Amino acid sequence: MKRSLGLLCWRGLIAALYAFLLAPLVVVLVVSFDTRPYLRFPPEHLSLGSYTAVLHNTAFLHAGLFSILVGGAAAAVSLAVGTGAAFALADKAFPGRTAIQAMFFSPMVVPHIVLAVGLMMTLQPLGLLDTLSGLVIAHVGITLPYVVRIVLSGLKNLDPACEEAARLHGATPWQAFWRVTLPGLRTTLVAAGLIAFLFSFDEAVIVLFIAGHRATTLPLAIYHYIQFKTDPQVAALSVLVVLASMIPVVIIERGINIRRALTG
Amino acid sequence: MSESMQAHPRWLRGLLLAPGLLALAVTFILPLIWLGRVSVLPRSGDGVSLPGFTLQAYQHVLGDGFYWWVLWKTVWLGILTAALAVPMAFPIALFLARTTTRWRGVLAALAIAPLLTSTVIRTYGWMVILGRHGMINDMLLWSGLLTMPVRLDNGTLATVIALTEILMPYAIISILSNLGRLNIEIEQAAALLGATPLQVFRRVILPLLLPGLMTAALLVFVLAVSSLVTPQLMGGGRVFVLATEIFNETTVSLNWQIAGALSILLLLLFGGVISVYQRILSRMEEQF
Amino acid sequence: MVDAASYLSIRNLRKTYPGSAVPAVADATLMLERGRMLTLLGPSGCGKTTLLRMLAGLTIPDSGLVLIGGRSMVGVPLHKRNMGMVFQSYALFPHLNVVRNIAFGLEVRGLSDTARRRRVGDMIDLMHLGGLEHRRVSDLSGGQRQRVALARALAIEPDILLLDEPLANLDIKLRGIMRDEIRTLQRRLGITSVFVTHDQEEALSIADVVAVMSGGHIRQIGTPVEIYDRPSCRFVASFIGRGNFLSARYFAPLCADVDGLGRMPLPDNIRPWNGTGTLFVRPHHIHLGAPQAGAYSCTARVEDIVYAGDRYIITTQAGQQRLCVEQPAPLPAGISIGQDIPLSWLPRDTRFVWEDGT
Repeated sequence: MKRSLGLLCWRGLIAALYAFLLAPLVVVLVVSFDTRPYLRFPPEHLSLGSYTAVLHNTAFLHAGLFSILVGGAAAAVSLAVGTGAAFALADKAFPGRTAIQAMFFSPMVVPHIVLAVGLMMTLQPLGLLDTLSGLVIAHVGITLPYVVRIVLSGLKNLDPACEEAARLHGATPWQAFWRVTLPGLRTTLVAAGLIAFLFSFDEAVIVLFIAGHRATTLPLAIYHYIQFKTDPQVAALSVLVVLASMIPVVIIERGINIRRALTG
Repeated sequence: MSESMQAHPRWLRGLLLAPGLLALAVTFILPLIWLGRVSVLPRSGDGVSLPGFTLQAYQHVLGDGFYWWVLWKTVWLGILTAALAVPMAFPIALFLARTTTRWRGVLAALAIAPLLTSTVIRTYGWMVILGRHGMINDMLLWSGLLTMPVRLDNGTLATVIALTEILMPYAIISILSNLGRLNIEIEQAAALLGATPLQVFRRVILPLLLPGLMTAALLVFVLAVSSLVTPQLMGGGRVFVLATEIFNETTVSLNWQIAGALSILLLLLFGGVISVYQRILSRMEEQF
Repeated sequence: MVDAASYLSIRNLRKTYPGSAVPAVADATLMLERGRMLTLLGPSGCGKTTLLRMLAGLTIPDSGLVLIGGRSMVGVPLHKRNMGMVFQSYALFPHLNVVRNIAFGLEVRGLSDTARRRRVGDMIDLMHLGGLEHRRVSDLSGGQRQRVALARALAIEPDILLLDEPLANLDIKLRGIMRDEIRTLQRRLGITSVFVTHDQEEALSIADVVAVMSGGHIRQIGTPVEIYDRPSCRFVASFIGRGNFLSARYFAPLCADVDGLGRMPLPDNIRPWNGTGTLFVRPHHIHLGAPQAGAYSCTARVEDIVYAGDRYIITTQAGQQRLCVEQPAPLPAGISIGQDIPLSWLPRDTRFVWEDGT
């Protein structure tokens, strides 16, 4: 009797914490179906009107496409240069290895706002503020350490004997790399690229400093919008953004499950 | 014991590292150096940076009581957020580590997925909940507890609530990754040796998890003190922290020297907290 | 030039890992006839895996030579060594199915499609993998993975087959089955093989030649019978099977003075030694009850009796000397703990072993 009461309390606590954790997303979802032009909770009538409005809002559409462009470019660059670096860092020991690795990871411990100010001051004299290339440069800076870390841990999870087996059974170093090592890393590389894309896509601090009216990303567009207007349209947009972000998350989860299946 | 075959020849290693290092230099190292450089440039009367060297911006920041107050508010915000987020994340992490329900995967995803949705959107959600015509006010008015809506969405309280929720997933992940050390058999062994559930928690679970909890607290703290979007939107211009000050100096006052000096100050705060944390952690490890 | 006795020849191989004071392998020298199976046997950390990896070329020796068919392997790149290897983790390629795993070595050699298919088909039949051709490696059981790894190594028709503790990850019953299968296959194909294991029973039952290693040194090389019956040193004697070690001084021809047991007859193949030496008797050579003619005999007190299914292991104390005795079940009537019983063994079952490090 006493035991089940304790269990009930524990479950209630967990449910309450989950409610708190998911509250803003749930609220945004509900509001997005509202019909009134101003923000009220709960909604009176449900409709998909806000979604139609978002899809006809060219400013949002442009910002969305631009975000995808920036995220894609930043992910591609990070993946290309980061994978190479991770391969080099996977070597057991060479002079300066620890220092170089620490350098690659250091952007993770520097606040984004400090980096943002630095980037703004650097990009301004170069005329790269409010441009696509400026944004890509900035986002490579924050996504690169994650790519290096993910690929590095993926490399450490590979069975080194696989490459040895390939070499011993007749593969040249090049063949062993293309036929065994790289395919073994497939899921890791996909996960690293998607994480980089997501971080760029959702990044909101640096863009506040270095983006403007010409190069506006989606988070920035939402930020500016809700500073002045809070109507269900932005809720609908938010729901769409969250859903779009979930697609890569699901893919990554799948990838990791596949990997688990492979190793276990 | 075995020797790795994958050691790359030196030239190849250099070739592999070079693009990454170049990218790192351009996107990270150079901006930070430039930031430091700009913070010590003299500034003309009409706000133009001049060549030279001066510590004026630092003197200005350190000599002005306002900035000290902002620094204090920033640290206070960080502490408050960490003090709320970690105890709230802990039960969820414990639950996720222990539960055997088949919904475990979904629940874990739900706990961590908010991490991958934009801060702007989640802050917006909190604006809806805490707003003047938001959920909480509506409910309080409807229940008759209030006759006039109160402002919940402007100020430190709202900022802390939103930040707590936004940063909780980080704490959950951090604690969860440490829970691996805590095998349920350890607890059972302690219980068989005669420890009450409370004693098991205090003498076994807590000491084992303390490093993980501390890491979670550190993570939440540093992310909270450097957050900009949430204080800016939830604070409605009335919450002054280092981040919002830096933003104002760069975009409103256009005083890059002050912005640079404040950024360096924030960086120092970061470094200080992290090194104190590491010292405490290593001392703790000596103790246990 | 190449005589059959030295198809595989290892000369003075030596390896010290960076940061280690002692060599992992010190001056290993051995030879193996074509078509024979060699096992490298020893406890973990004895250097057997390092020796195998140097053979394969996966670890570069500090000095020494590996010759196969009279050809030095120094500087030969891995992919031109034509060796097959079964790894402890199997190291199957997780992104390829069974057929593609087996075909890997043939694909990178650029073999024609038809030749490759035929060869892979042969391997599938040989290893009884029919029906599993297009399975993912992750969907296979341990024994099936083992077969795929073996098929992959054999598909390239290697000059030498290397096996690094291939049975260590299998459950005990499967281990025995696979061991016999590998042995049969090796004999049938006549493929020169080197098999690393820490399991003495496995080593003795599978090998033509056993090399026992410890501390980076090869302690003894010989047939399984030689290794078991005439261990050269105390380490080999104690690592393989059980043994009673007796400190003894040479007293007179065919006679030794044993600590705690007095005078003991010696076989005629033991030569005189100086100072204290070590004599060695297998527990199953010690006889319970009335002594045979010419046997050494003594009385011992029973301290412990352990039942081991087909036999009993009896621990006794004879004077200052502890003696372990193995007696086939059932136990003769009237033997119980605390009782004094007569023990005896024939001089021909007494061996002299060198202490380690001499």
